[in-house]
Amino acid sequence: MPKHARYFSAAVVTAAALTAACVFPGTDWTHVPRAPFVVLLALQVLLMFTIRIPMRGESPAGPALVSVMLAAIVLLPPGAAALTGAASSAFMVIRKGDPWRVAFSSAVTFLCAISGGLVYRAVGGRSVLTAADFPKALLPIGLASLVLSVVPAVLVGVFLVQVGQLTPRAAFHEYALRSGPRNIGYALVGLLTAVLWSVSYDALAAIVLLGPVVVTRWATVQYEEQRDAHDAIIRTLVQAVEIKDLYTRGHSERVAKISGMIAAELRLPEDRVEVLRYAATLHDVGKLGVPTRLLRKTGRLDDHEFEEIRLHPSRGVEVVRDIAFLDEAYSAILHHHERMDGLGYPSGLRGMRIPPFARIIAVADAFDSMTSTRSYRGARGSDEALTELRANMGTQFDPAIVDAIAAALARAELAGRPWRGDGTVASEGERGGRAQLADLPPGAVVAEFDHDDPAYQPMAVAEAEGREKPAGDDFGGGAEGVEHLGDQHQPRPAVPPQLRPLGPASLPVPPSAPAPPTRSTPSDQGSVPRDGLRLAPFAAELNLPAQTKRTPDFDRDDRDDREAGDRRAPHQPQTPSAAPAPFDREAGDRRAPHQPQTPSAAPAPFDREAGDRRAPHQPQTPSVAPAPAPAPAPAPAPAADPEKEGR
Amino acid sequence: MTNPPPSRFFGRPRPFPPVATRPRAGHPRFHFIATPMLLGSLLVVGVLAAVLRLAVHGPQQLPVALAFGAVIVLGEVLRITLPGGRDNAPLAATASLGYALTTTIDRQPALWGPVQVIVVVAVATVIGSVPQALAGRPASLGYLVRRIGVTGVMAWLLRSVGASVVASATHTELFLLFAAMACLALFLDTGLAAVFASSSGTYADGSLIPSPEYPEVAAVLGSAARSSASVVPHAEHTSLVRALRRLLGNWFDECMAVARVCPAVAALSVAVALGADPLGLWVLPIAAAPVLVMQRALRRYAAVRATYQQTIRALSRMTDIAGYTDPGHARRVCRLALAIGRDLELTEPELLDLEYAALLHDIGQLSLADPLPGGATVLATPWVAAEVAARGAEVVRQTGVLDRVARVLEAQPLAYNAAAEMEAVTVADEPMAAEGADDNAESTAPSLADDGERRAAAILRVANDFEDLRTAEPGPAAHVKALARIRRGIGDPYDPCAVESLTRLVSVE
Repeated sequence: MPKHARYFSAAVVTAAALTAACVFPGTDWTHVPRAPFVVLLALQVLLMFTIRIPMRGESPAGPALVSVMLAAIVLLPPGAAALTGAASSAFMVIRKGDPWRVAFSSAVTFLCAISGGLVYRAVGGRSVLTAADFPKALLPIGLASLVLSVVPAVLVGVFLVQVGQLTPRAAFHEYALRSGPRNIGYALVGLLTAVLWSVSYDALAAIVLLGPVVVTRWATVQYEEQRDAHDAIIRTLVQAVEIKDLYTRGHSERVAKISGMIAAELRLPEDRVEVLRYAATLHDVGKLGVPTRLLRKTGRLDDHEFEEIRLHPSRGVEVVRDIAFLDEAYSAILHHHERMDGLGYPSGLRGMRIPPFARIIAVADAFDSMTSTRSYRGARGSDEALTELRANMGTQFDPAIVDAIAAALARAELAGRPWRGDGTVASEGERGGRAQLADLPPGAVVAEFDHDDPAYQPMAVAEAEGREKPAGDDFGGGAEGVEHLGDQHQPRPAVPPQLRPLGPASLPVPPSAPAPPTRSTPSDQGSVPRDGLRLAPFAAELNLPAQTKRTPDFDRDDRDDREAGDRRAPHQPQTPSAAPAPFDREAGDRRAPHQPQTPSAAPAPFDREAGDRRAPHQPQTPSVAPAPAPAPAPAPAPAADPEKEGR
Repeated sequence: MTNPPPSRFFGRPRPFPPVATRPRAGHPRFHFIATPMLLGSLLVVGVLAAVLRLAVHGPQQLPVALAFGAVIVLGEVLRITLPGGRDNAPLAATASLGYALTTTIDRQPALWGPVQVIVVVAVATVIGSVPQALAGRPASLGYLVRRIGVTGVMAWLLRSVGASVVASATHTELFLLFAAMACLALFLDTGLAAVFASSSGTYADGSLIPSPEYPEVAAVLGSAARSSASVVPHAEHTSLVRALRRLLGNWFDECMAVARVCPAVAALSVAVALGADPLGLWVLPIAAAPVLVMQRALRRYAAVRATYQQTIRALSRMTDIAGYTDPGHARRVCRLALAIGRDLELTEPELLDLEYAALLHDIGQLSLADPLPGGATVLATPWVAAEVAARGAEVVRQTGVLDRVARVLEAQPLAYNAAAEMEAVTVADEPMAAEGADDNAESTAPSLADDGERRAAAILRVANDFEDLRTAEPGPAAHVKALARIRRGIGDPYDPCAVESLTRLVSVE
């Protein structure tokens, strides 16, 4: 226990002892009615044994105890009532052995009861209540209930703040909205008991107390149960995605954590942070709608497959639309791939029209994908990732949020908790950690290209018509992937011999000669001429053979790229997807030989200024219709499709 | 098909009866009497008679009646519907029972009779149901019957039959009497609810050919015993003993379901009745406050349950969104599995597990790189089916409350192994009983499925395979062909009792 907390609890115990020393001698012990004393003491002891120890550090005077104590205050003199409270709290030592805590909670109960009793007597409350006393009697009763719930809330709240479990604001919030009204409500049961008791129903009246007390045992945990239910449901949805795409493992949690850090930096209120965390954990749940084969593909993705993956935000919201408590996360999940310049998907929202949570998640998503390990590259350092974020500030990311994440990371660094991608700890002397490959089950086939990584931004030189340079989609493939868009019918290129196995089960390596990367020709798909493509910085790794051992010299790659300019080394392609997961053999459905898909243009010339006119979850392009929808116009038309274009 | 060995869980399997003597699904008189319709009409007649009589004789202590009526209205307006169709209005219940039991108020005798109690409660309940009805959640007839009927019976018992007892009782005796009456009222309430639940099986259309309009998911996701859109009639339940047994089971389930709030309702209604003497009308707000606070927790509880229901619905649609299964497949399998389950008389918790398992049984398919054709696991290899089941169970287990469902899902692709069943019966305490081919999936499970879960898994397997076969070859007689294939057995044998039940259900039309 921290020092301050210890001092505070000692002070409380001392205060209780002093009060007892003052009050007890003045109490007329011979005239204390014995039956109520014994029964109420027994009831409180019973409660101590059966009460559910609150998990959020609630005050020990839960609603059941408050009701019993109000009955005690009305029926007994203040000293006797307080004695019942303190004596029963001492029984807590049998359940929870820490003597400090037991002493503290005894003192709190004592002070609560004594103050309630004193207030009640001071304001003119009487032991025997009849109808004639109302409504005058409501004043002492109301005050006593208020004191009974405020005093323990304050004392325990201060203690918890000292221990560090709650912030003052959260403690006040919880009391004022949750425990306060509840305790006062249940205190009135105690009043009924006291009334009945004094009207000569005697000990039987205590039975009246039992009913609501039993109910509160269930009722007080509902708040935690709701929270646990929400967490469990989110874990379930994430697990459902993970059985499809193993790389999501951990990614959702990390994005949620980063988003939480950003939100703390932006000083968002607690309940909004909670919604943001939900949305961040579930942002990729739409991958459920993407065919598993695509997610596990080890080659590059062609246009049709880009389309499929680009649908995942809208698929995601279809999944969570049914679930009521995720309503607010809906827009964040849908728009988390939007870009500030309006060239994102699915709706092409621009600038501040993108919901703020979506902007936060976009930054967090990109940051985590850069700082996590992939099979073809290690994790980048946080500062590198930040540089990349800053490079895309204003075009892809919200500048305010990039600043916030930079500040949050700096703050964490100062506090001694620097962010390490993958949650692994980097060895000394490395910036941000080049972590080992995350543990994957043997034989796992994982996606090679991370659609979140902003490094994979194929850029296209603008046409002479002054066509706007839409930024590329952030899907992998870089130059090679884009080049091979036209090569639908060519055999898959080979795997370099120095392929590093992902796990104990190495992927089979078919020994065919690597096909030289050819310039793609404008095929019947009406694809954009890719001649002028140029890679953004940081995509230089794609030039290198996959899986080669590289020393963590990040500067060298940048230097190479800047020097090399447009010259790209022949790409050694990745494992072909002919290396199947065991399921593939069993599944009966062999897809038909892949039909070249038209990257269908947007159905209407998309007015980016107007933002999203369509219903939010309709994607710009149709989904799995295999019929090639002819582009409305030839080659320039797909250029109108912002996602297809490189800059 | 050889005679399956007798299994004590399904009852002695009957030989498959020839077509001519197969009984039609009937409407036994017992069920007809117990329907809410009949009782509802009786209730309406009774209330009208009471109103007439009250109009003739004039009300007693009108302000008190109005005050209680107002609290009942408030309680009904704040009624909470738990997912599963159970309506819950603790404040209204407390106030109406309190009004029925109050014998002295403000040191004067309470002069109203049972007639006035019935009228006040009926009028207030109806008025209070209006806002919720306007919002699309009308009170069901059974609920009204229960509330007004039970309160009326209590009032009559106390005020007419027991008037002399009340007049001469001491405080202690009065307290005990009131406590006993409150408990009796609660038992009557749950008993009536159980009766209505048992009789809902008569609302059936008897057909298993799925109609183009699929039933609302709410009806499917509702508590199994309560779905008034139940598809299948109970085939041979003319036996009174069996009906009584089912009734008792339903009663127990109802009690468990309302066990959360009924201690408070009982205690506070007694407190209202007794406290009205010293406190007068002040007893109403004082007793209403804790109930209102409790309702907050109840609402949260209902929200948590609703969230789980919504999640299950979202999960069951996941494979449709991902394009792995036909839309509606999960719901069809669910209906069929529930029909078989009711036919085989599973208890309500088991039916609920079966329902959830049927809705979620295809989630594991998401892990396949290529979708199975038509999402049909029946034609997949056993290894694939086991893997799909294991992945699905993994997902389901994350919710933390669906562990039983997860075990049912894991056991689903397992063959019906009669020898293993018998061995498991005799070697009940040894979890790793030698179960032959069933080891592969079960050995990796955190805990083995017990008998009830294996029963549910066997039913689910039959239902799923039947649906897959039926949709695999669409046509007018698809279900007949599918049934024939199931009866012949595909690969591993099916549970014979489930197959028999399926035969009964499919052929009844």
